[in-house]
Amino acid sequence: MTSSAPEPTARAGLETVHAGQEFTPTTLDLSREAVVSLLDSIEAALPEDENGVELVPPSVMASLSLGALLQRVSLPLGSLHASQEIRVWRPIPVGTQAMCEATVANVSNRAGMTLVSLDFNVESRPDESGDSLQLATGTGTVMFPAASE
Amino acid sequence: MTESPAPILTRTVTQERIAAYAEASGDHNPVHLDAEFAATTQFSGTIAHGMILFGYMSDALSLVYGAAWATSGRMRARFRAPARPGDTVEVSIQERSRHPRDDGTIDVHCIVECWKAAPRERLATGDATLTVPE
Repeated sequence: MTSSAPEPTARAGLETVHAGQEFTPTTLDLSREAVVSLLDSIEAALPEDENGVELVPPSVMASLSLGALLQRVSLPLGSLHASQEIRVWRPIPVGTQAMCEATVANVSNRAGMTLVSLDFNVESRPDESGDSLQLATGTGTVMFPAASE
Repeated sequence: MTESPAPILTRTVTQERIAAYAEASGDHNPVHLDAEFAATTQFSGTIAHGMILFGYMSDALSLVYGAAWATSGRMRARFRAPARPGDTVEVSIQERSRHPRDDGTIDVHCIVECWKAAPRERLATGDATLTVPE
């Protein structure tokens, strides 16, 4: 799995969500095992900075954030990923303790399909003084056949 | 770079890799994994997760720009067509601009494209920015 055991929260169907809806924050597993498993599946190597610190690449941040979100929402049959955006705000060392928050940014219908855009924001777990750092933000858009009227 | 840049990265999509990605990411959408179900869809068979293509594009940026991609990368990608098991996929990068910053680093803007090798078909396009050392 891509993140820690979910809280006992019922999963919402993506076809039932509305713009502005927020999901319960989820812990992101940025362990070496989780990151390397994803990179191995696409035949990619773990990047390092000039000091040999292993870093979580942007695509893995996006994949793990989406995986965490799938603990909160279920996809209707026929769902397809239409687009994806990711931005990392600083180097993210492997093993960083992080939380992912997600919000429904937009729901629209076009040509018989429903498009749902989900914004996510990943921050480090608060330190002893309660401060956290923004690590990554992004948006994923999923489309699925619109319900017939 | 040239108008038609050579591929930075070439990968072959396999059902085994798709299954490995599903396990690692938690995305078990049956259109990627269940051949029987996928046969009933518009694709008539399983397809790779769009995020696998996104991962190839990200890896190509990492190969070209090194750690700068992991420390400052931003990409917006649109998935245009599916990749299927057996497809050979190529990723190319076209650098569009470089803008020096006051701190001596440089903002780089690139277009990233993911193609099926044969028959040639564009699978995904991305708009990427990152900051590299001088």
